[in-house]
Amino acid sequence: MKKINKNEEAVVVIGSGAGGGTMVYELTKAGIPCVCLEAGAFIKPEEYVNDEWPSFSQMAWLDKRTTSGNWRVAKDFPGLPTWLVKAVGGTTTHWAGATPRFLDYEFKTLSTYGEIAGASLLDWPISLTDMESYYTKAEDAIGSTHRGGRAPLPANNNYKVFANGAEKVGYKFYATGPYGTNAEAYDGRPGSIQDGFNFQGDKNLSKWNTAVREIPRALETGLLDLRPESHVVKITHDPSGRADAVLYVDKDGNLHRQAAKVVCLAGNSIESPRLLLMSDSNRFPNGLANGSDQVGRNYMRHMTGSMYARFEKPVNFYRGETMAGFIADEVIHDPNRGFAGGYYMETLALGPAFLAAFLDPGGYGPEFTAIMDNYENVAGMWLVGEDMPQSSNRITLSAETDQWGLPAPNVHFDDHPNDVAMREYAYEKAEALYNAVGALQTYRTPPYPSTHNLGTCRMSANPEDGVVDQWGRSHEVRNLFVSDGSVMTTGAAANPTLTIVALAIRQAEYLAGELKKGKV
Amino acid sequence: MRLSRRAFISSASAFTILAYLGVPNAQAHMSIASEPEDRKLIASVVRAMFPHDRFPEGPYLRTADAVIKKALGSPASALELKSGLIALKQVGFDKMSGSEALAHVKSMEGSPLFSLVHGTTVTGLYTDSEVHQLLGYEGSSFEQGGYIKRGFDDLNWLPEPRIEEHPELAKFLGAGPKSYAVAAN
Ligand SMILES: Cc1cc2nc3c(=O)[nH]c(=O)nc-3n(C[C@H](O)[C@H](O)[C@H](O)COP(=O)(O)OP(=O)(O)OC[C@H]3O[C@@H](n4cnc5c(N)ncnc54)[C@H](O)[C@@H]3O)c2cc1C
Repeated sequence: MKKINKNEEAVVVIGSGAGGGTMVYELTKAGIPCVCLEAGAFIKPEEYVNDEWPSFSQMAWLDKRTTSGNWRVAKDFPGLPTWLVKAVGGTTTHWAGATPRFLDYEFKTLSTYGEIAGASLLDWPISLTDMESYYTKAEDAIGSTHRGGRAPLPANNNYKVFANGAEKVGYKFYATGPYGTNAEAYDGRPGSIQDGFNFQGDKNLSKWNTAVREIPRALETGLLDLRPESHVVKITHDPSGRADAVLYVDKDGNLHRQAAKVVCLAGNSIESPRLLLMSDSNRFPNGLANGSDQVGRNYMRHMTGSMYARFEKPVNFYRGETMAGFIADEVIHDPNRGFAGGYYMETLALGPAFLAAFLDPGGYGPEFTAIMDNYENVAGMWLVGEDMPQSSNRITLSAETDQWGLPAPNVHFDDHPNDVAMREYAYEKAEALYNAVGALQTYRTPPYPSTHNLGTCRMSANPEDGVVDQWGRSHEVRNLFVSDGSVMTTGAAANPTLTIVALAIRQAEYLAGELKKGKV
Repeated sequence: MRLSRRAFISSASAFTILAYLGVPNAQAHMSIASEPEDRKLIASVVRAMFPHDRFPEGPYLRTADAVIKKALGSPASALELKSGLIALKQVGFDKMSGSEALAHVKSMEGSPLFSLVHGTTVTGLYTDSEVHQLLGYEGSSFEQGGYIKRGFDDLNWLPEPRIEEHPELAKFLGAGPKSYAVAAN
């Protein structure tokens, strides 16, 4: 592995998840050496475990966090607002694989939906046309099924219930993808063996994640200096206001400094704004790159909810791909439904351990146990739709501290009335779907800790409205880039990772060009 | 969140703790749930909350052990468990019918004992391997080649659905919104 001197002004990438992992691969492929600082360890696929809680404690980000706001997560999981991963590969190790693209108008929601009270909607500075070729590259990198001539995954049991219900209620746009797990061997990795443990990291390597594709390939170029268990705690700047180094803590608590000519921040939508807020200085009293006061604001987590249904006959929904089932019929913006934006329905299966924890936090009694007791006969789906950005939904620095004595992030979230109306509507549709194939009982499951975390360093044409420009480059600190889900201006209905990867490929291409021109 | 069943079962047999009783440097042994009836009583609270007629006592007792183990984590929670158990004995909880017991558990909502038992059960009872067997969950599968040859698609009470996308999907997604703005709300 390449060793880059700590005094050498390097291209420094913080985080190795969807955004950071893609950045280091694209940059090293273009001949640019990088240092990648990753807070988590490099856990190899052979160490992944097919067991829900042990896998969670192996990889999930469990550092101190606090919550506030009227969302139910703050009550049910006050110390665990998100489900994110601290490991090389970031949250792509635990992700499922749903990879829809944004729709054209989802890049311009302010002009499509109009002003919505309480929402801080804004049009993206880029369009679907700007993104199309990068979406194709991202689908090819991830190996999305149903795209690029790649085969669809077969129907598993949960999908059979889901798709038959869809057909019965008149939906047309159902399929087993697009999904980021190989149905057949592709890109040097095998086809799925339907082991049912997507959320625990796929030991079979059929599922894309940056720890099995981008990071190893970047290491192969000989240009990547990967430093796991290196938690960045500050980005510093020179007198001219350019980022000049990052300070990080190793696993033993020692502080290090890495000089930087460019910093690409990809710690995800909680840690990236937290780090900028912690990087305040006399020159940037509000936090680095935060002259607009938008850092940490407009936090989005998607409208979510799940629906479980109990049937007379067995489903055994835990066997096979966790989320390889899609319905797109409800995704189109149709204000006649009483809310703006749309949502997808996606199959979802959990083991008894997670189902008990997430089915109805705080719940108990015979209705609860009827679902658990008939576990073999249960089918499930996830509802995921666009939520409204709100200026007051934000990441701030808490008075409580993490294991290093640094301020923990507080995650504040209030549901917008639009989110509530969409969730209610989506639950009804999901119930109708399962009832159409004979459900004996349906169960409305509230949102669990956020797996989609977006918007806290948003992209804007105008520096006053956001944190970064159309390339993810800070409006204020020109050698600072944000390369993860926090750049999203609005969240669309789509699961975010395909878009995060596509944006990172686009950003890396731009950054490589700027570096070659000596313009960073 | 770190759960090792073996760890909490084995240490749950150490039913005594050193408790500080408010007097600086004065330590006292406090015996918590040291009698088998206490363990049974806790198991019956777990069963009242999460009734599964077909579950034997084993998983409920192991969950009770986990509750005790957790309570022993601090003198304060040990005290809460102890007082909760005393109160349950006073109301004759062990003599209550299923529905009476459920109603009583409901009246305990918000109490420390309720939270302790509820929180531990959700992660304890439903991670128990005997419970997984009873529920028909086969669990870890990679080492057996996944479920691809072990029933991932064996559901046969519904027709085989299409797995390809509908030919009109791209047109549908590209058509744009049904109409423009929402009424400002
Ligand atoms: C169970 C689950 C299922 C999911 N399913 C899907 C799906 O089907 N489709 C989809 O599109 N998305 C899915 N997601 C979401 C997806 O995983 C995320 O959108 C994506 O990984 C986010 O990418 P990111 O680069 O923003 O952050 P991450 O992937 O979280 O990467 C951030 C990395 O930065 C590191 N880091 C953070 N702070 C620091 C610091 N200060 N110093 C050093 N390193 C740091 C972290 O340890 C982490 O490795 C799922 C997520 C979960 C949890």
